Amino acid sequence: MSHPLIVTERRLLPRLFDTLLTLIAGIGFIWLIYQGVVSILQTQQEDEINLLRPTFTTLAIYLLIVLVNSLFLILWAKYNQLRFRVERRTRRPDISDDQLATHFGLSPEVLAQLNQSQIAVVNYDNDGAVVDVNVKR
Amino acid sequence: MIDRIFAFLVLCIVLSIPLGIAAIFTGEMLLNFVFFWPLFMSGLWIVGGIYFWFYRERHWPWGEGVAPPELTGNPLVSILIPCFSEGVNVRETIAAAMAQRYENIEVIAINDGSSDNTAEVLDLLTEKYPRLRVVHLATNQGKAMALTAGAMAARSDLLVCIDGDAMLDKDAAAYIVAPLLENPRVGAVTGNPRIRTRSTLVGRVQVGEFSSIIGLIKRTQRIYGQVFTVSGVIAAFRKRALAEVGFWSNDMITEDIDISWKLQLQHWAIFFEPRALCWILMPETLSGLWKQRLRWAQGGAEVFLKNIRNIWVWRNRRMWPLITEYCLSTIWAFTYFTSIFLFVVGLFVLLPGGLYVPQIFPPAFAGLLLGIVCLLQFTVSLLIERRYEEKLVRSLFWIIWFPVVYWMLSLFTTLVAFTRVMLNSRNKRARWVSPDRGIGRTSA
Repeated sequence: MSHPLIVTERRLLPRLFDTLLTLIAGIGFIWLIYQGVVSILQTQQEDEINLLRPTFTTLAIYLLIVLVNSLFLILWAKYNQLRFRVERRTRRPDISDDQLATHFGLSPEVLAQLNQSQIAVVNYDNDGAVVDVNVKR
Repeated sequence: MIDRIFAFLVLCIVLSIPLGIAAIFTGEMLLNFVFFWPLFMSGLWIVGGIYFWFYRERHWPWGEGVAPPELTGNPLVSILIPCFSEGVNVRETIAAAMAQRYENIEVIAINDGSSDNTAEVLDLLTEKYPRLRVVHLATNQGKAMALTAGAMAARSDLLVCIDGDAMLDKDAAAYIVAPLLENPRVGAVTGNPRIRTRSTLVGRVQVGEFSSIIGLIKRTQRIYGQVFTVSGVIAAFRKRALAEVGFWSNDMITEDIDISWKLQLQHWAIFFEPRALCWILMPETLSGLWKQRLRWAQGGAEVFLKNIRNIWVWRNRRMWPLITEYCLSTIWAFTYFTSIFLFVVGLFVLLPGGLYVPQIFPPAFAGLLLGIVCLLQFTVSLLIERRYEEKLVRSLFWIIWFPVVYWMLSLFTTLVAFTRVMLNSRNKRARWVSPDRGIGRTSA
């Protein structure tokens, strides 16, 4: 299937509004990044070593946290790969019709009728239990 | 009564944690958590996404010329489609389901007591498609009951469940069912929903959000081994696994989160299959988006409340990180709220030192870091996801909104939904009407 996208044609004004709003947000975002860089560079000019140190320390802590997280996640994934490399479970047989009928409170005959139907109507009581199955076709 | 008192206590604890931290330590500590929790999670999702791609996804063939996976034994696959007032959408949903290249399928549409012409449309479609079966529920029972009725009528043990307004890709059923056949411990597989509605800003932003955040979260959770939720719009289940956990709960507002937790608590694994594409309709208005996300947040809170007391036994240990992450995300929302509250109060009243919050916008350095990490996250997701959607790069222009949408929407919906669930736990039948499905479609 090709991508079944839906783009409903809208009036020019709302389209322009969306675009303009997004542009403003984009500029704001770039400004935020620019401010961050400028503030670091200004700090560098004022006192290169002493004032820049906390910034890099903070950055180093974040990076360290990311690295530690990554390490834990990957080690855990590797452990699971090793642990489950040999599948110890066997595929259990499909659930039987009798078990299903018991679960739904139906007789096996009614369940079989429902399974073979093309169109059926199911009635429930107020507690959500099946009261009646009516096969139409 | 005890349940209600317990829920109220949970709410009190969640509310008091940020205040307590501010009072004992400083308001700055609150802000550090507010600014850096998204960074922390973002870093984890980026690494998880890259690892999933590197270790698994890049080896998986994909493209126009690639044949669908061969299913051992050529088993029958039942595609279940619960429909509530889907008269407008159901024709194309059924047509897409019927167009699967894997041929041994039956499609079961469950008309959940619709108030529109869904019943007539479905009955007519059975003449066009002999493999289409229809189960009419005499009265509206809710999605969970409709799915259960579909499972009851299905002839196969392999169930693919999609929404009444979703279009399966041509090989989606085969891709999503394959892990169930290959791995005995897999009880469910979640697919890859792709957004169709792209007319408004709200619609376009969600395209980036689904790729950049939801796609990476699913990959990361799969790498970890447990999944917070399958996508209700496209997921496959083993009927035996469903029967073991009592099928879908009819009193949970999001049946997909609940069934994911029930299965995993019974030690059934959930896989993620990104090649199982399903084209979905999403809200294109802010009110529709709010309504939908509020329901999702409410569903998360309901599942949290249902499981928080019994999850701390050793046999459920693999779920602990998931519930911890949920707790921290909830505390993040309440911390952000507390910070804003203290900041506003601080403008008028002189607060004690610890409770004083000097600012609520990220400082320049944190802003820089947040910006870079957001860009990095989007770039990574784009590189991973572009093969599923050729023109995904186009959404780059709108992507600026995705952190705002995800985190701000998470913030407000969590605040409202969590409070609502804790104050008013329900235990009654969950029924809802879908929000708008794009501005070009009339809602139910």
